[in-house]
Amino acid sequence: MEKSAILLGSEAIAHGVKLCRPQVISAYPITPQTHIIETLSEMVDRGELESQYIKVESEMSAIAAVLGSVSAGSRSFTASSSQGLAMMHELLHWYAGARLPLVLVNANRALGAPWNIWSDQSDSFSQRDTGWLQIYCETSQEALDTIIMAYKASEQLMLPIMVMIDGFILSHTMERLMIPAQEMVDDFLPPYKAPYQLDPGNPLTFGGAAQPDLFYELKKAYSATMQEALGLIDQVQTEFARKFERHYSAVMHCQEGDKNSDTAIICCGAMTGTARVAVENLSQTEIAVDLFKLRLLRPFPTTDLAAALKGKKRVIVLNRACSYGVGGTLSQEIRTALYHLPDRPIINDVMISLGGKEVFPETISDIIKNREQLSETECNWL
Amino acid sequence: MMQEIRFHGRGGQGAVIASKIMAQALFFEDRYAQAFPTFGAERRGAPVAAFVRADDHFINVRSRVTTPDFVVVMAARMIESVPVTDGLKEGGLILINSDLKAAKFNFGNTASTTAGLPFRVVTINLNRIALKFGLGTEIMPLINAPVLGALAKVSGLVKPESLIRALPDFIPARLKDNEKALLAAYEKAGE
Amino acid sequence: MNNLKYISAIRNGDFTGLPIAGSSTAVNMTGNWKFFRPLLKPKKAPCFEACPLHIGISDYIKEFAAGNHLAALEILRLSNPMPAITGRVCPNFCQSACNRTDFDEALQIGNLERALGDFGLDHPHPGNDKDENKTAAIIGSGPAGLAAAIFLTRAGVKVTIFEQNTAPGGLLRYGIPAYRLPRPILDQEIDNIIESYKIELKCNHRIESAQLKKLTAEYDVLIAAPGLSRSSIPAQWPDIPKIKGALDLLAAISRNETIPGQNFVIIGGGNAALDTARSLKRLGKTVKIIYRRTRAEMPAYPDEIMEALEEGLQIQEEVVVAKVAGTGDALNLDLHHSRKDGKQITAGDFLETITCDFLIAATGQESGTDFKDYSPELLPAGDFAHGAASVAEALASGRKAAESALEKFGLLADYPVSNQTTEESAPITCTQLHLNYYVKKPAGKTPQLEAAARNKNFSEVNLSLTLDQLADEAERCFHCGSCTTCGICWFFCPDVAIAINHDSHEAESPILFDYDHCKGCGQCAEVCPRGVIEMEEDL
Repeated sequence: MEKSAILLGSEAIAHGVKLCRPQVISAYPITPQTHIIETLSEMVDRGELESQYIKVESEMSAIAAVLGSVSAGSRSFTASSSQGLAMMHELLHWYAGARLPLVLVNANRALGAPWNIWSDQSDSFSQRDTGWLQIYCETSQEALDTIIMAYKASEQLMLPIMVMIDGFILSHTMERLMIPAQEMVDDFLPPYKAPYQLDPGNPLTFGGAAQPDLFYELKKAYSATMQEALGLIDQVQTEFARKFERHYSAVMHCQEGDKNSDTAIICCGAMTGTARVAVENLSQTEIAVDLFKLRLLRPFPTTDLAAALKGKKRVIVLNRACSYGVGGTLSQEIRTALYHLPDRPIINDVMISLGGKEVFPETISDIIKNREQLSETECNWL
Repeated sequence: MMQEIRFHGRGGQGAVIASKIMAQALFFEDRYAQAFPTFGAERRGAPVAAFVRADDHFINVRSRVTTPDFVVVMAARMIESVPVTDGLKEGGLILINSDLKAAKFNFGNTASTTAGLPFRVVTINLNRIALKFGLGTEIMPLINAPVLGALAKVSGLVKPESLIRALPDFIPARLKDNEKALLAAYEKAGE
Repeated sequence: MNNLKYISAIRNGDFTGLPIAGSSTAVNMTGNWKFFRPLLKPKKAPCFEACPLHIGISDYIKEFAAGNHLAALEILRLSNPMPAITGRVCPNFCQSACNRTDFDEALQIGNLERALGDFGLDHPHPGNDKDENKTAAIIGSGPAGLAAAIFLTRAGVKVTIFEQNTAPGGLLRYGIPAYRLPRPILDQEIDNIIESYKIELKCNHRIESAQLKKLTAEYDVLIAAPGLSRSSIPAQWPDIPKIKGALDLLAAISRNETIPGQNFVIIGGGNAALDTARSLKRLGKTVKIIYRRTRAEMPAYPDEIMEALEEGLQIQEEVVVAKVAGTGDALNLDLHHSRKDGKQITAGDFLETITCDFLIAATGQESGTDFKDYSPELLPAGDFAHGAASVAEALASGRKAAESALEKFGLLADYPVSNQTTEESAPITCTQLHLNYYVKKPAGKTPQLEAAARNKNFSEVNLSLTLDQLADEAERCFHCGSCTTCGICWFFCPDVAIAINHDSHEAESPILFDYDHCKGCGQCAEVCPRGVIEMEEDL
């Protein structure tokens, strides 16, 4: 039986991970992620979760440890944040290239300097090109559910998936959610059967040298698998919805304006909740806009997004990460996806928050109210 | 209708734990609740705030509470340095852990009365209650259980039984004494 | 673009777009976060507490270790005016209490004191230039009398000492043998004191009780420190010249008198017994000590017992002399086994009869005066007041008598004392220290004259170590409960809220806490190697 609970975001994630029965956990503490692995280590200590918990001295070692354990055929888990994720960078490329499954939870936090521990999506956005799949979550429930779906997708695709929650905003907030029943998760997510693994009895070579032509072909195949991943993730989300009655998709239409609404706002992560309130409040003042959230950043759901935003005259993109010298990183992604539409909407690139700058419902409604003043070419800073 | 609480305390006083117990108790009454602290490194002694929202459906908003219905001040001295009544709703209430009479606090009221204020001021000496049940030390009384008892009484937000049911998950030691202190504060608050 | 523009903008506090602030992080007054504040709370060291004189041991050793020997001597003399003597004869109560014992080996405080004392022989006391128009008469120039004289003159009182013997020193001269306290040292130390403090010393001047009244009238205060100069002889023994008191014999040896007889039996287990036996052995006599209890129960200082045994002295344990029969040339002693009768020891079974030339009693001391119903103005001091005790205790007693007199004169207020805390509190224990900061090091032990060489003469047994040889030993002091500005707190303070005041004067704290920024985390109190920092509620 599914059960209702009230938990911190980080605890919810730990429960989600536990339901997936990882055989190996290795991570290094960093605010605001630490509670996740703390909770997991306590679960292992109490014997509630049968898993090898490997203590390491850095994030580099954490990712290396799970690279090893997954190579040997174990379902594994790691988590990090900010500078920690940046430290993993080299092995993030390697991991994806090795074609191994994994779920990594990243609690989004700013990168210094200056020193800042608060919510900011720059850490994971700057790992966009490592070959990992990336999913951004709005609520603790969504994060818990996404971990379960991510293991399933990851193991079918033999690709690693990074699941994002906003540091503090989700990780340190206690809220109500449903914890799925273990039997249902077991049924949805059978034990991991590695198609290939480290085995002295059956020797294989992993990650050996590839000559240029072979390397090119391997990467071409990788890219094709990423495209297939779009369909597979859809399929996993549909299957999950059938079983657990919670619906997720790559692009989600969160709040509908009226029929004549020609403006959409789009964002990803926990800010969507506050945006819902803003849009709701605005609808009472007769400004109708549609609100979308992007869950899947990699692979990018270009077709879904184009379909969702078709007919809109204006799309306001709320960014929590910046590609300095261009503008909001999410805005670039949206622009690219909409380029092929016959009637391309105006894209307003808004840098709404970095380093934990608080986003109130009024922050978002003011942007919408003053949308005519927003630049169409430059990044809009508050 | 959503209700919002803002706790003010010093790091180590238990404001964050109090907010969590409150959220858990609201959950036991089948309500939706959200609890979170001012985000940052937890530093002992530093002024901290923690927030609770309660509603009958899922709470979407994630920004900090700026217009609370209830403000709880766990260390009265903070009133000098922290604008604790900022945004306090009209008809709202501020609960202060202090031995002084409500009128002794100056929130812009000129006369020695709180009559003209747009919110109620309630004081209660929670330190004394905590110490009576052996919670903490003279220097650092542990008041998170009694503060909730007092808040339950003056706000009517939650039943004291629900708070008592929520205590074990957050208070590892001296559970019985915490329960007694919570009920004692519930009895005494607003008298 | 000129990047130098940033410099002035940052200094002006303008927004520059750089993550650099124009001021230090000191603008964040984090001090108001704290519940507790650290305070420097020096504690009593166990050595200070154990010493009858309450010498500021840690303080003078600090100066010693820094090479400031004169400064160290001044601190030492403040409480103990004759360190060259006590450094040799004191049983070192301080060392027995030393916290270092639980770590490796007690600090050799006696050796440090002795080396400084010897150094002081060439450095006269500063004396005193005050004149308070008060006078004191002191009976006896032993340690108690001399101490009383010194502490009185320091406060400006004119002192006259009446000594019945030809030379000053009392038991120091007539009780303690030269191999423990060489006479040149004793003479120099006492001469320095008499000269520096301009004390009037009247030797060969015995005071009888009939004269007390007159003295009380002549002087503003009268202190009696005549000592316990005679060994008491058990009443059941016959009153014959072949039976002598140990102290009489020691005095005769001190005066270089010829000691007749060859075979000596000494009864007793205290220092007087051992001193007499060892002295006689040096004069080529045959000596045996008879003690009624076991060696472990002997009240003599353990070091003395050890040295006596090294020198081949015979100690017959658990034996009592039941009967003394005097013949013309020799004495017959009936020895019996000791029998424990509750706390009493009585004669048990007969053991043997032995003969000797002289029987020496070292079983107790008594006063050599007839002072009995002295006037209440007379202040008693030393062994005369409190019974036989150590030299340090006699000095302390003399000082106490001086202080009583000064109090009466109203002169106690600016009387110089050691700056160690005298608060009523238990001394700091080893568990309150942070031993991880200390390194184990062997103690600086005094070399000794070989046992074979000792029996030939009265040369000093314990040889000297120079100040330089003891520099490492001074470094071994834990300085329990006393700040040495070691800087460990400064190092660990996460808020840079501690400053070390290396040049602090007495009035200033050696550690300065920046309470505007200290968050009260308590790390300084936690790491202090000497347990000097305490956390208190911040109000």
